[in-house]
Amino acid sequence: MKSKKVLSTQEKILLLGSGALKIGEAGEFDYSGTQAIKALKEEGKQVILINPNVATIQTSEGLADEIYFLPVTPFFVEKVIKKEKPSGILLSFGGQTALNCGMELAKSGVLEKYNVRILGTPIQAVIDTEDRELFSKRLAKIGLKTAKGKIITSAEEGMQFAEELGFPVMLRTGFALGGTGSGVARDRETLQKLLTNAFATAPQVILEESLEGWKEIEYEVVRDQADNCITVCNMENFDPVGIHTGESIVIAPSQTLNNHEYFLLRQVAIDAIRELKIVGECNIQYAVNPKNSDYRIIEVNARLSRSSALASKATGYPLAYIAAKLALGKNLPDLQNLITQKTSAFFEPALDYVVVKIPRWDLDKYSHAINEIGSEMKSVGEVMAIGRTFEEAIQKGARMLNDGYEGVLDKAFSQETRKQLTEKVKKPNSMRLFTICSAMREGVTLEQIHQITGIDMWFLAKLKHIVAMYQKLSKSSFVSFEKNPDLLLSAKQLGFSDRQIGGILKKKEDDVRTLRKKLRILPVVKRIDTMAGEFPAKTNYLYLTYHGTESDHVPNAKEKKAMVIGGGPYSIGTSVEFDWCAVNTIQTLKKNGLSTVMINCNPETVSTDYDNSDYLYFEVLSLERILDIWDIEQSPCVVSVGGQIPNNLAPKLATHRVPLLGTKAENIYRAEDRKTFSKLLDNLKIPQPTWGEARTLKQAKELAVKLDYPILVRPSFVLSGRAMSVLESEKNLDRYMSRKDIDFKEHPLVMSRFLSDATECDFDGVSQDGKIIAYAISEHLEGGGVHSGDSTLTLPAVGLSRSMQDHLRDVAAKIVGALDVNGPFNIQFLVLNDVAYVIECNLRASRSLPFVSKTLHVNFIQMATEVMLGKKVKPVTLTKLPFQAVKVPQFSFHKLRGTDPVLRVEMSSTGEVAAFGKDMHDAYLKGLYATNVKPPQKKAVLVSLGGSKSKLRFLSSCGHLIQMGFTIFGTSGTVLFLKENGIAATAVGKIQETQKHPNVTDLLALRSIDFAIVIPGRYKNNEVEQLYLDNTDGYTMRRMAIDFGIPIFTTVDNAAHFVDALAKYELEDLEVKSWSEYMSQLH
Amino acid sequence: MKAYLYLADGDVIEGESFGYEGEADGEVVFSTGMTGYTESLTDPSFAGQILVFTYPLIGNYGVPKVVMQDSHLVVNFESERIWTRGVIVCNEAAEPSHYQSQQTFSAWLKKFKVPAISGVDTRALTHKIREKGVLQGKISMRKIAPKWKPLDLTKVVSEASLNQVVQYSPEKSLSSGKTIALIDCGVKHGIIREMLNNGYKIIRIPWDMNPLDLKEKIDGVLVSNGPGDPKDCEITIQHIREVLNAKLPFLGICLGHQLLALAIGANTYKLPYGHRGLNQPCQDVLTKKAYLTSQNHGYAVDRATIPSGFEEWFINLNDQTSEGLRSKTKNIASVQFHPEGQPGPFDTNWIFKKLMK
Repeated sequence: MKSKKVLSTQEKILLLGSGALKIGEAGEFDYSGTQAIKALKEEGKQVILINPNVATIQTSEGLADEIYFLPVTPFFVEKVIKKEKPSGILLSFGGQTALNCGMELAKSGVLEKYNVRILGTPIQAVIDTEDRELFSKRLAKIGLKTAKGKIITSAEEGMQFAEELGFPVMLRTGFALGGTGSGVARDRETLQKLLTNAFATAPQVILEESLEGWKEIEYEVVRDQADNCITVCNMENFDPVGIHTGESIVIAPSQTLNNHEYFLLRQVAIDAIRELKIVGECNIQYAVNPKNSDYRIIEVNARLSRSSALASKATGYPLAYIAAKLALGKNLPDLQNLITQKTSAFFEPALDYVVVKIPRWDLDKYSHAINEIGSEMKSVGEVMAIGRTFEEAIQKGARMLNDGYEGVLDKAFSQETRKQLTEKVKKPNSMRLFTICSAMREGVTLEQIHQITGIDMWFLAKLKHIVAMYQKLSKSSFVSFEKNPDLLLSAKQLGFSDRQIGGILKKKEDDVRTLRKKLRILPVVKRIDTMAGEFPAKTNYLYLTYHGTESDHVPNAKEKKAMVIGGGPYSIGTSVEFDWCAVNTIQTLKKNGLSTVMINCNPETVSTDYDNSDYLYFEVLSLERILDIWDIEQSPCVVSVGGQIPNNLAPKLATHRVPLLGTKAENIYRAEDRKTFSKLLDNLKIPQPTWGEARTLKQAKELAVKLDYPILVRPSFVLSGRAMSVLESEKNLDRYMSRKDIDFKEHPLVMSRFLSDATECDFDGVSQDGKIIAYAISEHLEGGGVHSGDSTLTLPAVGLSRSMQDHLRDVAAKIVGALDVNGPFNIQFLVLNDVAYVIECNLRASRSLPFVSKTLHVNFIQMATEVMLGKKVKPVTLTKLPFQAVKVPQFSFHKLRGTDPVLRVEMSSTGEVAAFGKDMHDAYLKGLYATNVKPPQKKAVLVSLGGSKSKLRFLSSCGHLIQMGFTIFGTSGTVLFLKENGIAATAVGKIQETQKHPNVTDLLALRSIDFAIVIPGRYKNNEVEQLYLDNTDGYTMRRMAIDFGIPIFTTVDNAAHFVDALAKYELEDLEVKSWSEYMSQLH
Repeated sequence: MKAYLYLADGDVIEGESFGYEGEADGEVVFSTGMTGYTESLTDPSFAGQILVFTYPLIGNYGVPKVVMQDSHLVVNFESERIWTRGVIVCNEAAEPSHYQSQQTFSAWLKKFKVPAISGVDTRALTHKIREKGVLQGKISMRKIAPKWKPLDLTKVVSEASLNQVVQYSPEKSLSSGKTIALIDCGVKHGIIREMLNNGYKIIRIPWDMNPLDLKEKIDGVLVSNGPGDPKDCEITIQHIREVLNAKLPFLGICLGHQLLALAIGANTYKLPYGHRGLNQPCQDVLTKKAYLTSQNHGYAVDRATIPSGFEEWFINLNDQTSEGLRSKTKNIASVQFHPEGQPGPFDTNWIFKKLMK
């Protein structure tokens, strides 16, 4: 596949990736790793990459020389080192995962043993920044201030230390206890209480000076080995200290620091990075006292981070690329500013715009999630908005979230009273921004909000401008704009969308647009150039604003272009895979001689890199904005590679006569619209689970009788597939229909027969003129009832017969023929008793496309793009795969306190990995070890099997466990069943049986087991069963396992495959092969 | 109220007035600094100029109360007054937020009778200046047909200089016992503060006074920054020659750098649109070490004309223009940038320590 003619003189560098996307470690590390690879290749290095994240660009062909889809753990990295013999290793481009792994390898002497040099920041700097005490000491030595604090082991010690610190003080308890008992004490009395409570459950607490109400500021700092230092960007958090920066709205550059503060903190950042001897990039976080400019360093991250990715996108400065060059020993003054291609990389970007980052949460997708934000990260993605004012940027950002907000003030939030809103403002949650603005609308004063939240008055005053305009618009009329166009212009300058204005004035979005264009109120294009216009720049990087009279970018009408709409913010269900698709589309368009226009708003992506597309619009993925861009660029549009957002826009764009490349918009609609699609299937005589729609409880009950329980329900046209559920009885249905947040008259309930025990498959393909030219069938390891995004995918399908696979292909061919598909598509099948039912069809690239492309070594997106361009593409004939590939989901339940880790019909995974192997067991073990599972060492396991079906199903696996020498602990029912079947097991006390030892708590808290298998008896759904689920033992056990970091299985399918694989392979037996080694077996 | 910026190329830019409601003439220049508007506006080097901020939000942290360190020495501004003749911004923050803020940016401008316009596409204006070079401009509250007279900026240095002799002493604990004559061509107070922090006693003298005429014994001479064309300061150049002949240690900053160059026989020229910002990268020619600097100048030293006996100290990494000179043998040096920062970084404030030793 790749040219193997690598010169032996080329130095080999090992790069560690960050693995699957998880909360706190997301797509930003695909950006940083990809940039690092490009920089290394430019310097003539050979790059070996270890990263199991199959959906990333960095693990694509043409970048790294060798790719290992293996866990980023010391065991596997050592294996690769032994095999590849690299001379250097880069640890700072793969997040905390890579850094932790690197530290372990350094400490255990592996790097020394194999003579592998750590490039960039020395390991001691990493160790010092990770250890609170060492860190404070080192910085204090050069006169820099860190938050004073220490670990306290008794209440007396705490009281004494508090006197030293002075009140108020902050008390923190450990994470494993759920952080309960943390708090601020303003006086001795309160502290005494807090300490007493804390020491009742915890052996130690941390006591530190309280930085409550202080501004939170970050700087991104770069240093080379010759000690040249710059700070590329600073950023200010909307919320003061206390809300994790990943959970906070962040603004770049800082807005409320004066010159003295700005440059004082810059100097401190540089002094710190010099003292720590960091080579490359680091992030430094401060607390700044708003009353006297005093500061504390909160922490230093000696690696590329989410903030550095944001800084890079916010300024245009390619931080990761430069950091990689510096790690190789290059110096900043010798490197070029890639944006101007004239000036030096040693400089600090000057911005002439404002950047606002807003986190994207998806907490309502989880059962038991607590919607509160604080010192831990819960958001799954983010958006970045650019404007010439804060108001313009933040309103764009609100829309970019794709969470139903048309702006910071939205009709949808107008129900609550002033009192309710004031209460809500006190408790930060994922709707904070919107709550604050609604509170303003209801007359809560800025002073009051400032008192409650500590948010700087500057931000509040700006938000108030928006609220005031909203109220002004409410009182004006649409016709008045003709006489007073300045009002409309002001609204646009404050970031109001046409739809938002239309909503206020009861007009259609199109009416506002038409009038606006008639009045010549149009946005202009501005370029991001790192130098605020001081030097001419060659950058692709653009945004739109209403604060301008002149566009920086005037398209050349002769240039042949195509526009690609990206995936938007990462959320549950939309992840890095769509970025992979977008980037591959751009690359294919380029290869075919077209100029490319990329539209996206997610800073954690490669598609928004400075060197990806010819024109990058960092913009809202809304109809209005895309039409604005269409008006400027006049280039046809690709809507099928960015997931659901562009897919949903397709029909609307077509209505506005925007030419779409690929499948016709009307056919996209025919597949999307449930009724039309169902009719189509009936006409084609293709089976589908029986279904119907209900608007009232009566209708629903009647339908339910026809369908028979269990029934899969979901409201139609509700955002992001929320509220999907499996109902088992009429009682469930009653409760479901009684929910207040969905108007079933407006969004009829779609009810379909739930086929339990069916096999689910993903059929991914590319079609040209309605004929399939490439396809792959992946089978889900889990039975029905688990969302496809949470399923383990096997390719080749492990359980489907050849004839069934051929049958699926024939069914798919009929559907794509009828829809005249030109481009990518995905069909989901259920196979039960040799009948294949179609459950869904999407005429767009799917989540599994990178996985099947990389497994089959056929780039589906490249083919699809060429189809869209009208090129005749040669069909691919697939041979039998001589290896097994699996895609394994990554969950982030540990970051979401209280959530039940059980798998449901609603998706909850945040990422995925792929593993290749000689067989299913080999691949699956590696996939699990790359996600949430650790190899067993203690040979002990906790088993709790709910329901007789799962007990029977798991019996043989228990036999395997015993043969391997495992001790099986179990709950009484499970143990009884096992004993009856001749398997030795030890019964342990239930959680509440605190007198009985060992009980479940002991096993989990003391971590005396390797993993837990806790299978719920029935399908559990957050919506329906929440009321009585809280107290079940199963939930408590599962949650406790997550809190104590113990791997947990909640489906029998996963657990059985894992145990069977363990029985077959020792860790040492697992294959360590590069991707190219597997691919070479194909040809 | 509407306000208009008339440009010498015929262009008229409309916006909202937020400063003094009157007229102003000046050279239209831009600065790329994202902070430091109070420092910039009080920098006397901006005398004669209408300043365009490329950063769109100006006035965010308001304007602090003036704190005096000494008579004729301000702690938290660069001089006692605003020197720019006019200000152009995209968006003015009418509701500043900072514990030190005492008045709004707008109120401050009104106090010093400085007209200002907001709501301007400052990026488009910056592009124009970049392409056409600095232009003459006029701010007016009225629609007029301006008659353009050439701007006479030959006297700006004498306007910017205090034109009286003032002495400043460092805190006793810091004192080095040395006295420096500071030729004030429009000195930023930050330079005086930095020199005092380094323990020097300062005798600030008018731009056209010969430091050798001072009765006091002096250990060195510092020539400050200032506005305008260095060639208009013939008398200062003559004094510098005498200082060099007297073998006194010498440091020039900004205009002082250009004046040293002219004094030793090198040439200066006008840059098309100058360097104004806080992010200008400079490199030490010898050590290759790079520093980020604060700059505000429209003229530059012609690197090709530097005579023997002198060497280049720093160059600008963006456009390779001259950023510093020094004698190969004597304690004579100058820098084009502002080592005191204010606004801007302090990467090079070690220069105050290193010189005059």
